[in-house]
Amino acid sequence: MATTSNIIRLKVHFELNTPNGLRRVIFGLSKDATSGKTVLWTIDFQLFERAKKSDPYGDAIVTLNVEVDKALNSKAEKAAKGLTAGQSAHALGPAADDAKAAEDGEIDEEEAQTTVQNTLKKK
Amino acid sequence: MKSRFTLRRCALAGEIFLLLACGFQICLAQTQRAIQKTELGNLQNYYATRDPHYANIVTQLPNLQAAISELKNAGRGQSCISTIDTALRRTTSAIQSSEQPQYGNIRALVFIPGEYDENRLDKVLICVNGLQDPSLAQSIARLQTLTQQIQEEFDLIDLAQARRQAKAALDKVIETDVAGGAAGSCTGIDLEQAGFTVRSIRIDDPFKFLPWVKTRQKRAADQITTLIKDKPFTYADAAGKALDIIENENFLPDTSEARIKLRLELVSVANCLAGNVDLIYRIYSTQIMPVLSARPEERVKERETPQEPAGQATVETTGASPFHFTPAAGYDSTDLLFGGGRFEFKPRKFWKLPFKSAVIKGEASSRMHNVSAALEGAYDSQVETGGWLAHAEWLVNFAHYSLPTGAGDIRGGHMTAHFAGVTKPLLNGNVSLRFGASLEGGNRQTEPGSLILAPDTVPNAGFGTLKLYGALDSRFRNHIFNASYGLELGAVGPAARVDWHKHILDARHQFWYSLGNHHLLDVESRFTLGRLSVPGRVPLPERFFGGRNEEFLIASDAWQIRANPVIRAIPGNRFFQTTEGAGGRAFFSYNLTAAYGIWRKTLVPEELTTDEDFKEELEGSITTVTSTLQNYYSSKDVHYTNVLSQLPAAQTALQDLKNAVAAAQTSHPDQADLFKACTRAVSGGLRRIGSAITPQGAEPYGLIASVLSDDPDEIQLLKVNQTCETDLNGVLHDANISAATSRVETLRKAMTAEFAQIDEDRAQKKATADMAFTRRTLNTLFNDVNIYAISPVIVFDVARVGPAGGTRYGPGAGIRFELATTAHFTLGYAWNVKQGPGEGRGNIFFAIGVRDLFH
Repeated sequence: MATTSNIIRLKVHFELNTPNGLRRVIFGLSKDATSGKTVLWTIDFQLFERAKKSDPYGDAIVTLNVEVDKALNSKAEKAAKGLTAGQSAHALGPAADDAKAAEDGEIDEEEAQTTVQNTLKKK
Repeated sequence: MKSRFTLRRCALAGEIFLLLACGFQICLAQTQRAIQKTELGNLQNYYATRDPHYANIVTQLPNLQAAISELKNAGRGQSCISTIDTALRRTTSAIQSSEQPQYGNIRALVFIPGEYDENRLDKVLICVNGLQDPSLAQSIARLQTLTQQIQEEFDLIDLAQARRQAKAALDKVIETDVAGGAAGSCTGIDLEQAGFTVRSIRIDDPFKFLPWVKTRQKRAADQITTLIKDKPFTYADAAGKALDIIENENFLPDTSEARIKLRLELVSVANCLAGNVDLIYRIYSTQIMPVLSARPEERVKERETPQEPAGQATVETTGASPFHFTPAAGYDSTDLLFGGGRFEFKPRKFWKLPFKSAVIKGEASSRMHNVSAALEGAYDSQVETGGWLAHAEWLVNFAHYSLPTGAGDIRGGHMTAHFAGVTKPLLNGNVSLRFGASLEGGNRQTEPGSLILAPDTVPNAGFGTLKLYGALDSRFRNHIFNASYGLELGAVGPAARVDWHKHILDARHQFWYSLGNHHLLDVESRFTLGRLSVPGRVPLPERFFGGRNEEFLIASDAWQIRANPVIRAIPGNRFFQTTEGAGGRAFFSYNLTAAYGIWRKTLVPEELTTDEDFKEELEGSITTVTSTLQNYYSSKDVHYTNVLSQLPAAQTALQDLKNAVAAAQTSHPDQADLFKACTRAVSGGLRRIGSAITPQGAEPYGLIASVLSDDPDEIQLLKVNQTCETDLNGVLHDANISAATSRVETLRKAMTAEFAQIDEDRAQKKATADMAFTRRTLNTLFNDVNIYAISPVIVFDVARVGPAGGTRYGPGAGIRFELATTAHFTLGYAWNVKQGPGEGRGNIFFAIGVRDLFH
């Protein structure tokens, strides 16, 4: 039987660790080419924290799934090949901060999702 | 007669048919080649349009159009009008088109060596210059400048790169056409809408031969089968829920070392036939040791057991045993058939001791043994931090050996305490350094047989040594270079004096290159040099005994400094005769091993290794870690520290402003929206600055960058000035708000000015250098590593012991099997071309190592 295959979904996971080793963000970028015609990007953002470096990271304390605005498709495509310094700083800083603030009820989840998506816009 | 005639006619018809068929095939092949060549050129042009220099040309096109139009409109050179018109037409077409058509028009404007029919801009310049009309001078000069700029940019387009990209893209298309054709192709089909049913599912992981991967793979496959097999295809289930099942299984758990993780998952559909479709889930996960991958010891593992450098053998997860056992065996005509292995116990926590694992290893035959037991510890610095020390390791080891020389045995037993460190990459990421020391004490014994003792040599003695060593490692795309130096200071008995000192230099070079697709040519060279000086006395086994057996200066598996002359043509340790007696005082050896993989299976499917996007996405993880590291180095800049010191003042100023706004709000209920916008901006700024002052695990660099940013999407101090002072206070004219906003703005400007002075370039260079080895290792793992390979091997050794022990040459050949799934072994024979007494005419060498039985 022929072995030609077409990719309908691709997902890359970027692991970002803070230098103090207490926070980790998994920034997953997923590209769906459902019918071969439309492309949909999603961000799977997971935040992990621990009290001591010697402790293992447990389950994610926050998970946010963000459907990327189609206007940002080209930026998502580029980000799938690696986050820039600005994007890394944003993901570990404001995005993680807002994700946690949303989890604590300080801000809306939608606001946190927007901040996560804004990672793609950073240079 | 008639039948013979019929037969001849049939034969003739057959020949004609064959000729036609062959001719048709040749024509078809030629046509296909021509099409491919044309397509290659077309694609090359497309990729040329992606070059930044090409983009520079495109931005100049409107200026060029204006310059040519200016010449045309001057109306002075009717004889040039046709030349000008053509150039103008080409330029206008270039502006109005894109990609290849645009490229064609631009190419027609510039000078291409060997092509003179177009070259339109030059033709216009030659023509109008020939008019010698001073009124055109300015327009001509303008066109001249633009022509020169465009020509220079065009010449800088990297056509070689464009051709490579085109070829890679074309290869993919051809592969797809050949493999799938129209039948079974899923291209362009909305499988859900078309009502396809899932025929089968498969999970591909190159490391599925590892028990813990296999267990997870099976568990995930069972769940996905239940979810979608024999059911109508839906994207939500096939690409969504099914991939979630795989992710929940976590095919990339943490390891016991600090590694950089890469994870990529692909969901593919195939064989869209008769309303059915097959689903393939591919998982590519690996984790690389950022610095240690530069060691030559790691390169050997990449070949023999790729699961180890890929971080799949040391995962800390349920289903992964804390026990590791790798059996080994070998043969030579002096040691005879020997067996053994390496057993390691690596619990998650080694009680409260500063060790990570306990290791027992050894090999033994009826004539020899070499065994050791060790407690080993290690430390890895966090990848995303600075500091010069990347890795440290220590061990306490007990060893005992007895090795045959053919004339008697040399024996020893000793305890060792060893410490070593590895620096982060230096010199733009091209070199890392290792350093270490060890203390050793024990005894050396001799079963003398017919061994003749050299002067100042004792057959049996207690001893103590201090060893100091250093090394330089370097890893490039296809090379690893390492040079180690060791100094041993030894004393007979428990004395604080130097009875002997040894100097060892051990240099290794490894080169590998894919000839064809993953057919790897692997060449390893090793040069070792040793000198022994004996101001007092030395135990006989401390002198140099050479042959097939390797002896190492230190007990670590991770750092193997060879300390004897190795020549595979002489079995055991039979190479030792000198004019002084048994055992050399000096030696050198050179060993060359070259292998070529004639049969192999790639770690990553070939269709992916040639896919540029796949490679870039895999490298994305390293790019991301590099970026995080760059931020770390930026945060060490003095200007960043200056920003940090101003944060409390900014926090106070924002709080004052918040209070001033709150105080004003009650008397202006009609400005609710303006108050809301101002309060929101102030609160956002306070939240960010509060988090930056007390980060609690967060990364303040990103928070500060965000708060000082001028990006409208951000919560930034700039918004505070806009919403509170310009918008709100523009209506209120409140002196308190004005004063408070002014303080915030003053601090914002000061902090922004400091932040802008951070040397980002320096930070980026340092981060890139730190990640250089990792990037190169990834390239090797995904481009050059095979799951199995069978390779013919040629060897050539030269060795000499002194004084006056003579030089030996050992050419040889053999075969090497490297099966990551089961075992690796080498079998060969080397001739001892210039044999000495008792050495033999040659040697069969055979070694086998079995994959970890528990992983």
